[in-house]
Amino acid sequence: MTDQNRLRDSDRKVRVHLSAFDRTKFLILFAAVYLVLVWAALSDNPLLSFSDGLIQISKSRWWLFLLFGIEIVRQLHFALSEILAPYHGFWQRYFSSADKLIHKISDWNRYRLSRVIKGALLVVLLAVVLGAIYKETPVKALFLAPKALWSALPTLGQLAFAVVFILIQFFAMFWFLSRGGIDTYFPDDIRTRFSDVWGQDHVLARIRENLMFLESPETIEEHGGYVPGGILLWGPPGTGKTLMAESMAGETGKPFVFVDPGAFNNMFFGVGVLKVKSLFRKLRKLALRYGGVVVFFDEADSLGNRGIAVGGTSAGRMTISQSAAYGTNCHGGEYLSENTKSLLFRESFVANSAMGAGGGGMGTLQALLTELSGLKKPRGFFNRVVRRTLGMRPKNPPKYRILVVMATNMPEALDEALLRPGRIDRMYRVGYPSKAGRIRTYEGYLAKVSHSLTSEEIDKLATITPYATGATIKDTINEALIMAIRNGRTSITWTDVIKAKQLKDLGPAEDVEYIERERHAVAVHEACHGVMAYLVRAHMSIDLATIEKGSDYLGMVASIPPDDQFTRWRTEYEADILVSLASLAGERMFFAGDNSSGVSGDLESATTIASFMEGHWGMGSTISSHASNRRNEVGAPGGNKGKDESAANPRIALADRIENNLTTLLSRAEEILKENRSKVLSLAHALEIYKTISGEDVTAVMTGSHGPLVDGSPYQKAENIALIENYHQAALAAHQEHQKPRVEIPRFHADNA
Amino acid sequence: MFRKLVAIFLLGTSILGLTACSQSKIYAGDKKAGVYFTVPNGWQNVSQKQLHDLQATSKSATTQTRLQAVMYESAYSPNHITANDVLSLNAPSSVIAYARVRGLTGDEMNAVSYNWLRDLVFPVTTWINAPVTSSAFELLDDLEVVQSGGRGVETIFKATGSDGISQTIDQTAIVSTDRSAIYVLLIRARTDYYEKNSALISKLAHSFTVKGIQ
Repeated sequence: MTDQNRLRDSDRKVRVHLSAFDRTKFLILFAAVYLVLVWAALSDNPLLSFSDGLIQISKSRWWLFLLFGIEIVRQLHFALSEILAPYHGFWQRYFSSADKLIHKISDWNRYRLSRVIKGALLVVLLAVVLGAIYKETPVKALFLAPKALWSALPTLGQLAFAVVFILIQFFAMFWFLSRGGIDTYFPDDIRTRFSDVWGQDHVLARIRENLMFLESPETIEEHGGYVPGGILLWGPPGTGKTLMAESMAGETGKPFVFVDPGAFNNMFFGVGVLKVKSLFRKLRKLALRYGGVVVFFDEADSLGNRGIAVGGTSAGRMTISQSAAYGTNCHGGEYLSENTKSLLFRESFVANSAMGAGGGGMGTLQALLTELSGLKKPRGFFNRVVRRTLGMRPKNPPKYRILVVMATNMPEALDEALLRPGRIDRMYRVGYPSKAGRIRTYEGYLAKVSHSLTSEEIDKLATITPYATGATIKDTINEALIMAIRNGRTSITWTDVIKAKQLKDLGPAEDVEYIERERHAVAVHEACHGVMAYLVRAHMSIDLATIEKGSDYLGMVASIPPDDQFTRWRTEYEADILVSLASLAGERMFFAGDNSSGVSGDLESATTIASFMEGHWGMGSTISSHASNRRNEVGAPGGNKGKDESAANPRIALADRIENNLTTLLSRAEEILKENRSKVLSLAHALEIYKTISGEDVTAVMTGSHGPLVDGSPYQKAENIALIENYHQAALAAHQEHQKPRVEIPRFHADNA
Repeated sequence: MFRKLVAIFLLGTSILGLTACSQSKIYAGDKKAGVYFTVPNGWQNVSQKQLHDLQATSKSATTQTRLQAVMYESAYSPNHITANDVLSLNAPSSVIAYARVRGLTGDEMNAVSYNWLRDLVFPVTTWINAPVTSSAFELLDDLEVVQSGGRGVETIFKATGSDGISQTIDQTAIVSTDRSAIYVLLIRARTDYYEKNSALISKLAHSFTVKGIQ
């Protein structure tokens, strides 16, 4: 009956059936001894027949048959107990008192006692067999056996040497292969301290806490807790994770073991596992000797995973301009917000690549998982083998205080099992530094060079570089110094820093001169983005606008968030789409319905955002999530998957809804640009004249104020607007006729200043 | 379950039966001396000690020297016999099988030959080469014997002793491979007994196995 529980021993009426092996094991043993004795007799006398040998041994070793008989009686007793409940009950009552007596001895002592009895039995049987072989009394034969072993030692030694020699070759090879990739630093080897890490104070505070527990574990263990044994530092590249680990090494009074990212990569199966085991053997040794140890796995994503991707958040600053989402068109989506760029990048990544399990592979990760929180088996040869052989209980393993720190910028590439509490107890995001952190970092790096930046300028610099990391700040300051040296100075100025920032953000300009009509087309394209961004996007500020051709863009309008914001709204995404679609709307409007292929990247961005709005974020006309629909294979609302087209269905397919939304937004963009036609042409004019202008200059053009580079007042005069319009018409004619514009670009008085 | 009980019962019965059986023959011989032979069940044994004690009473120096070199000797007969019956060479009432292993002296080692082996107890070669064959002696067979422990001859002949009774003697004499020891099985039977039990005596003679001194 499958629904019945297995009976408890106390509920059984009869004895549990013995397996065939248990029923016969002693009989088999006695039979084996008997046959060995017969074999010995047959070898002693060449005339002895097998049957006579059996008889001879049965007479001379009668006690063996006595044991045989006892065992048979015992098995008969068991067999009857298995079928006759009264019989079993009788003996149960009889033996219960004996059982109680036996169970007064502890399990461990009973185990040892049984081992002694079994060992003694084995020695007795061995003595009997040896006695038959040596034709001596069993006791004497037992003492003759070591003599025979002694005489065989030279041969055994030769064999052992051959075996050891072969094994040594393997061991030596694997030993050499399992070296390297692991560096150990002892206290005071490293001078970096927490004070050298800027802008990550909240993470440092937590790490300090971990180190404090490592230094004095009793503060938490006395209260029933345990020392957190693992930290994961994750975040975008260059945010100071490794520096943080280095400062930990400098701050702690414990040894610090640094594991290279490629330490577990290997050519042969099993070497990675050996390396892991060797690493943890070393860690345990150091932990015992110094009372604790810190181990740091840099670029922990190299450890790989076993194919299970966790839902990590990729918030890194992507090199969008190189992503498949944008191709080599226009401005590389720099006008989009950081989150939107991240989203687009991720979509493009998922669409164009297959996630694989990388890492050391071949059991390395599993070995690491086991070592991090596997069975805490007793350690040491003496403890495990000698004590056990002597019948002593092995000592419990000591508490190894090992703090594991991992750093990665790809947390989604880590194995899920690696991140569970007990292995990695704490996960800290080492994100972009706060503004205060950026100011501190700028100040830190600027203090190392000669500069003329005021504290207000440093504050401004920190404001316009919201995603700057320690690494990028260091690089920008260094680039600014190079520019200063190139200009014959040794002190950095504000201009040097801004130019260095532009160089790092946009890459070096290619110094390509557009032909006039193309220059105008690019300027109008970027001006449409710029005007639209200025008018509709409150959540982003324009950082700069340029029509200088870069390696993979013709022009660019780059934006930055004015403040830290963690939620995004429908109106903001609509504004993003309007900025994207402004190029198409503008080109069609200003070039008599014509448009370039340069809008492809913009359309891709707009479509992707619109798709997410409609299908995922509840910002469209339907509520259900496309992600969920797709996962559950239920189809999108209005999808008509295999349904009757004639059925009354008020909803339309997802793609149609996205297209409708984009069409609506395109119309809005056209209206806005039509209303601001003069502003677009003015901004395009400024771009054609100055090539690259800052966000303040864009504002100057739009409001008629003075920007750092551009004086916006001429763009407020109707006659100047007429001149610009005239120039545009000439450029349009030139565009249609593929000729040079008949009118020169107008230059205003203020421009010559 | 019933079948298991029956199986256990049958196993126990067969084991008890095995212990109740007796061997099909007597396995005689000595492992150290490296000599083995079998005699039928029920034959009486004259032990090495009995034989030794009798020979020890001899005044002959040669006998004493050889006695010192004896490694194994034993005798069997279907009838009750004494050591004197074994060593007297008078015709037995039925048959006597006497085995002996003895070390050889240096001179004997040098003198060893097949004829020397044939003449070990009786002057067989002299009788064979006599100008007129005595009616008291008749050679029945003469075979070379090669075994792993040595080689020699088996000589079967009839002879009439001083008591006037004809006996048939099957003598196997083997010298060890290194010529250090001699293995002898001397089967003496009254001729009429031999003729009636020649197969049994032949089986006994052919069971004589020499492996050499261990």
